[in-house]
Amino acid sequence: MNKNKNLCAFERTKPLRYYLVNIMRIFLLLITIGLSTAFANTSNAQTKIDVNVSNVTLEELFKDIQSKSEFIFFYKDDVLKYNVSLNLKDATISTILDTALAGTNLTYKVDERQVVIKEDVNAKEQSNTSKNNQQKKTIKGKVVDDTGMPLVGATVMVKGANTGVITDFDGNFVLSVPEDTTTLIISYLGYSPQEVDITGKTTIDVKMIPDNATLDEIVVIGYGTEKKALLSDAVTSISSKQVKDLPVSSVDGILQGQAAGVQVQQNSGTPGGEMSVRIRGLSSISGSNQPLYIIDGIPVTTGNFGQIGYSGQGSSALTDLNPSDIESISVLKDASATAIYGARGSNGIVLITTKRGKEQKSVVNVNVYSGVQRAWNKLDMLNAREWMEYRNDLTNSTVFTEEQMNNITVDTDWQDVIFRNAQVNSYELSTLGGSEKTQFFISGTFFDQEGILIGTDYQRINGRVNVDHQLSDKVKIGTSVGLTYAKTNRVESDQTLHGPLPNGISTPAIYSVYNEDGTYNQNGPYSNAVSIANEAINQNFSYRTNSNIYLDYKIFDDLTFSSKWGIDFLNFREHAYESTKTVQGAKYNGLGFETYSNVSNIVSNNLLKYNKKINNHKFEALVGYTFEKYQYRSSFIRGQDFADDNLEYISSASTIVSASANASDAGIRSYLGRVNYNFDDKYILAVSGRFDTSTKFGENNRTGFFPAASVAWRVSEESFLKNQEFISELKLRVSYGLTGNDDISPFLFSELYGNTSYGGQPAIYPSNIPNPDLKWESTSQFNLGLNIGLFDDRIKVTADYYNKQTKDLLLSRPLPSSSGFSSITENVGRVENKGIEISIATNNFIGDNFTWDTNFNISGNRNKVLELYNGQPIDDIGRGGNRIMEGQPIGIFYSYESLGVDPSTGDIVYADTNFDGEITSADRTIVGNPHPDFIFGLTNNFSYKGIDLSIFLQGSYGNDVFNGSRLFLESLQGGDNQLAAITRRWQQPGDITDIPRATTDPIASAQNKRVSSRFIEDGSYMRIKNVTLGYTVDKKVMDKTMFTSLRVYVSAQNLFTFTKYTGLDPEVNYRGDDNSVIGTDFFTYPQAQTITIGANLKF
Amino acid sequence: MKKIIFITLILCTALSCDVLDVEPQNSISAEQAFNTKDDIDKGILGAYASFQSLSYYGRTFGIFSDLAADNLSHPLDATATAYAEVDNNSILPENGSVDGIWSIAYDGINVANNVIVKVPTIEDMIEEERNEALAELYFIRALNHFNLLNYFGGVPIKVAPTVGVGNLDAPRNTKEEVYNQIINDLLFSVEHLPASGAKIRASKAAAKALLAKVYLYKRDYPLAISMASEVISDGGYTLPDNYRDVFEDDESDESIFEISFSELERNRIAEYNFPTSLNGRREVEPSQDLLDAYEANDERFEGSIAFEGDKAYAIKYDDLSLGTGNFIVLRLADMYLIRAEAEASLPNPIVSSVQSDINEIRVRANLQPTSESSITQLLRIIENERRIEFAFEGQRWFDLVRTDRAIAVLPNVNSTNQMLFPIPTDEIQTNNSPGMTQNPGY
Repeated sequence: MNKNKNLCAFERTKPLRYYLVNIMRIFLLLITIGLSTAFANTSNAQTKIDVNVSNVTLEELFKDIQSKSEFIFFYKDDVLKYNVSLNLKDATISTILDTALAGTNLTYKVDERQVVIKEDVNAKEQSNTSKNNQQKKTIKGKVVDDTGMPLVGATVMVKGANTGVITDFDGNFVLSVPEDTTTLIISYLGYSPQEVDITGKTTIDVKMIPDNATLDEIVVIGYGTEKKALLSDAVTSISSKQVKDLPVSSVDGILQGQAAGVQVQQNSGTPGGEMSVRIRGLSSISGSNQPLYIIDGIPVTTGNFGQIGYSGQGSSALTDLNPSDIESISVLKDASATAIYGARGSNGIVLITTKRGKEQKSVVNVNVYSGVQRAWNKLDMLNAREWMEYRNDLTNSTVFTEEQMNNITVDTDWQDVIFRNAQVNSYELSTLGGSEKTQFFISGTFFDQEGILIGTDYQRINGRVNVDHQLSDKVKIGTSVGLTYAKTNRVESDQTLHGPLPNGISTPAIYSVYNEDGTYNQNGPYSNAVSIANEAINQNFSYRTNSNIYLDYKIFDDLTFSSKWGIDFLNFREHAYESTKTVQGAKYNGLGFETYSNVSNIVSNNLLKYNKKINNHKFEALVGYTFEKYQYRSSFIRGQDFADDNLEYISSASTIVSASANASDAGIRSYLGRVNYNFDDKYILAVSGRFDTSTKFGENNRTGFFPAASVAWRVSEESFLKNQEFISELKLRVSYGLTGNDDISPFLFSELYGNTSYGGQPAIYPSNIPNPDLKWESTSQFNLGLNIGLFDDRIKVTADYYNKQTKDLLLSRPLPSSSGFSSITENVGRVENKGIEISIATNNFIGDNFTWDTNFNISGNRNKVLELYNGQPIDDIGRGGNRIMEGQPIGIFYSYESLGVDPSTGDIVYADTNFDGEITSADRTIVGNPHPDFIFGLTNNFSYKGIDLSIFLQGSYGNDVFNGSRLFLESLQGGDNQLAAITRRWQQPGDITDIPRATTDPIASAQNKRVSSRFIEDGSYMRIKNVTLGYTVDKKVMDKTMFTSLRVYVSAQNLFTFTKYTGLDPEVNYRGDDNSVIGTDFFTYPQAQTITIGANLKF
Repeated sequence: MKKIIFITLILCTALSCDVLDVEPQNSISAEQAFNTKDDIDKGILGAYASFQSLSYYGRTFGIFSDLAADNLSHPLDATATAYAEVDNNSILPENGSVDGIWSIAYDGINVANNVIVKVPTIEDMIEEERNEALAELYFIRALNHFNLLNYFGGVPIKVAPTVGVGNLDAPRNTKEEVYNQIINDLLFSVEHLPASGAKIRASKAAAKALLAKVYLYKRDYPLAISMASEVISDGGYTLPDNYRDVFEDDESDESIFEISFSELERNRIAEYNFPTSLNGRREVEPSQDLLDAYEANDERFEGSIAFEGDKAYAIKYDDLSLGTGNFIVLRLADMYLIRAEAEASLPNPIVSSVQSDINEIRVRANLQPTSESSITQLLRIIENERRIEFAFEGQRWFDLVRTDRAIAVLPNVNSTNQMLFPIPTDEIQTNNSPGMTQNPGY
């Protein structure tokens, strides 16, 4: 490599920029090497080398040493005019160099593996002084980062010379320079290099500006890291800086709109609720489509462990993690990136890296924000008078007299009653620092969010301690400990008619909230919404640790063994009590629940890593052995007939109606391996594979193999593209591989009998049809990618095309119920996902005071079911008539096509698609597609002096939503309140309208409210998801205080939403993680509009 | 340092051996399930347990028979669409509640068949014990087939357990074939079941009572008479003086066979009957027509119906809070009325016998005995007595359908097509047998 001009560190003939780029590259390279050898601080200087050369140039000698060791030499070509002869055995590097350089004016410095050869300054200075009698001057200074923190180890160089120093622990430097020096160049990894004019100055203060492009350069991948430029896989990396001001409570919320090909949907606005994250579409029908989340190398238990039905408002185990502890997130998308996670890779992988300590002066960060949230949208419902008119019309009689209608005393706007302005507060204190041997990161956070719906709130306390310690030259140990306590107050779900939201919206305005005597008015069609919110206790508690310890042992210079042991332990408790003041509670004289779920996953990762570089050939190999043991234990008690409404625990229940305890275990054992080869940083090849043995599958198919390979060609490194300014990066990537999905219930393969009871006696029954051949879903994925950087990476474009073919679907196939079973899980069917993802990052304007950059991503996925069992569709799923059928995307809306209201009868006319003269289920047809044509995110960041502004837009285009709430709110039937839209209902022959008549004719009214295209709406939307305006207080002001930096900001979440959708919120998914009922809105808890103010303080 | 590595390696090997050694914790494997006589008994109870489902005697099955007929109606303000369809006799094949009945009955059949094939393999059972176990299982299978037959017509007969996914495409059998299967099963039950026992399990009398009913439905009148007579004369059952006592406690003197419900396995019948002011959901209410059908002083009115304000609601199963009341499937009053109807349907009926059986029921209800002598009129009286006597017990629809009286009596029923419920869409779509056909009109 020393002959490789562009990596040769001190090349005087090249322009300055080129020279700086080289320094950066070397830094990056060193970091890569440093990371891949697991921070070894071993003394290379002790390595023993044999040297036997005769009259060779110094360069040849260095080459020889390089090939025998890990030393890398940096030198100027023109100093190598010396020839040497040496014959040394078992010599250390210093012995060799002392001998070789004796008698030259060269000196050397060994820093780990880096050997810098340079002219002896003293010698040269002496000669210079004698020759030119040049004067010297001393420059002092301090280098700080954008927030005012000292930067340790920043390089300060004299422009046009190879004189330089590195800043000390406090960011200070002292440099002796020739009198005529005018400019210094200061550089630091992750920051844009700066030139500073020192004419007439003796001290300078330098503030470095972060260079986001460079920051991203190191990307976390499965079981390792890689330089972004050398990556041959499709990986999107999100840094903490990108998302720092978003007031979101969970990791999945951060991902929304940030990464191409990642669709994040908030299933409900419930604080602490779960989201659905889809990477490159839906590949499974019955299995999970959530990606595998991995924190600091340890897979995270996700999902909903609630045992009391709050369907649609599931809790999410992912919410337990504190987003502000995150340093970076990598989203692994193609098979080459994910195959190293084998049987769990096919939904993509989200790798989360938490912040760690650094060798620097300790810093304390305080981040606080406080805000208010409100519902951004309300439905336009009937008021009391309109309701009375409608009821009279419906029954064709005088239910309400004209006099009653003219003297309305009660006209309740129930949405005003159930929605509120709610607070959100977050307080975070963290500290980071360390010495050469030990580094630490410690943080504590308190997050407190009220829900915009009465009765809901969420509180979380997080603590984290990450410590790394160099035990000896060869051994490094460390730990990450994350602790969480979270408490959620919930209300019954969006979808059941016991929840405040559906109850509140469905209760006509003629009902008051309270009776005159102050009790709850329960005369409405369902329960009094306020009584459920106030009188029912629905709490859940999460006690969580996600922690690991590791040990890295450097066996040889090239070979490192790492062992990491982690535990993800979650204790989830639910406590619920409905007092007799609620309808449900009164039915049972008080109804209480107490549940515990105890989930633990123990993980062990054991890896052996080997690096070798021979000239331009670089090899990196990894083999690993990992295993996981998963245990789930739960208990559930339901009791009723409580002694008193104030006694809410089960011990006060005189009847225990249900008590149970459950257990389930699972295990997975894997062997994995990866080889990376790269020639000259130009041609890159990565091959990986994993064997997984999982207890989810029967003896016949317990072990699976998941291989993948990728190649990349960095065209921009070719000589024909080297000497131009236009293209700074051009990389072509191709990958192909196989991944799996094993996310199904355990023991489906085996013939089992379940327990029940009859007449107080234990009873058993066959609980499933065994399928001993059950195995994972396998997804083969082809990826073609392109990275382009233009104008010195001012414009960076990443584009990917993928084709994912999933076969052997773990399909819960419906069986004829005459068999006694409703379904069996079998490996049948195929699903295809094809798509294009484009991300563009541009630095639109870079000035001293003003900068503007833009990040844009857009992606479109096309999902198609290719094959099902016997071509049989899976029909009529969910409330909206979702269907899974061959040739169509998963969960297509399939129902009757409404042709509108017949002006002569006032009834809905349905399309007789088979022309047989009657409307039967055979007339159902495709009426909508819940999958978007494309999704996008756009972030613009501006900064002017101390002011920063960020505007983040996000949206979805072309997806249909089934507005299931209208099924009730435009039913023109029953006791539900109705949308104001029904005031334009058909009332007499000749009326032309889209709303049918109100009639008590049971058949006509049932026909009119059939699930049909009448309720399908365009769910496209664009949201101004976040706008943040910040101001960083001037450093000069801060210097007078005890603090080093202060930034204050104001931020607005969901500021505007542009949509044609008529429901509360277009971002819906009423049955949470169920893939087959996507795009159905049924009284979904809408998202909040939030305004926060916050401050970041450092000292 | 070597020590640390050594310890790590030891830990790795020691702990990883058992990660794949995992047993199911909540269920038992097939090999462990059936080895002893006790295991068979647990299996039999498992077959009974399906009767407790909400789709079955736990709620829907019983309510639908009164709702499809004229005893119950679906209030205007109620919300369950599936119930509205049944009330209007315009049921869609995708009606989830109807699907529930179909599925749970076949679930019960399959569980029973599963145990039936295991009985001969149990070594610690003598021949007599095996026959007794089989007799009980055949009874369960027969009752399920009979219930399916009454709602859906000729349905697939299932006499073997579902093992694997082959041969699941079952054609429909004719009504005649289903009847024959039911009768054969019940004849075996009558022969081998013990004479008495807990009423929540089948007994010899229960099998005879069910057989009497099956013969009546099949219009095999002499056999219906002889079976009903056997139950009446030597079953050890009596009519309590007070009608309400039949439902007040479990296992009353009159009850022949009932489905057990407890706090743990609750019935939810009251929840759908009770008005919202009493914390119910009121998806059904007694029809005005039924309220008008009671004669003055009929004790059964107060034994069956209560009022909250002006809203009537059914109270035969009135434990809203705990849902513990057992559901009575067969009781002695039914035997009297079966015998009366069968007698009246003979070519040369003995009028006094018919009158005497009807009067057993009327007198208990505090009504005047009938002296009607016209057979046609007596049949009408029997129809009406059955309506009142068994109101909210899930019989009315079957009575009107089997006597071809549904069109004449029920305003919403205009075609014989409506007299059968639709085969559920899911079954039609997944059962690929050409012999699996939808009922006409759906």
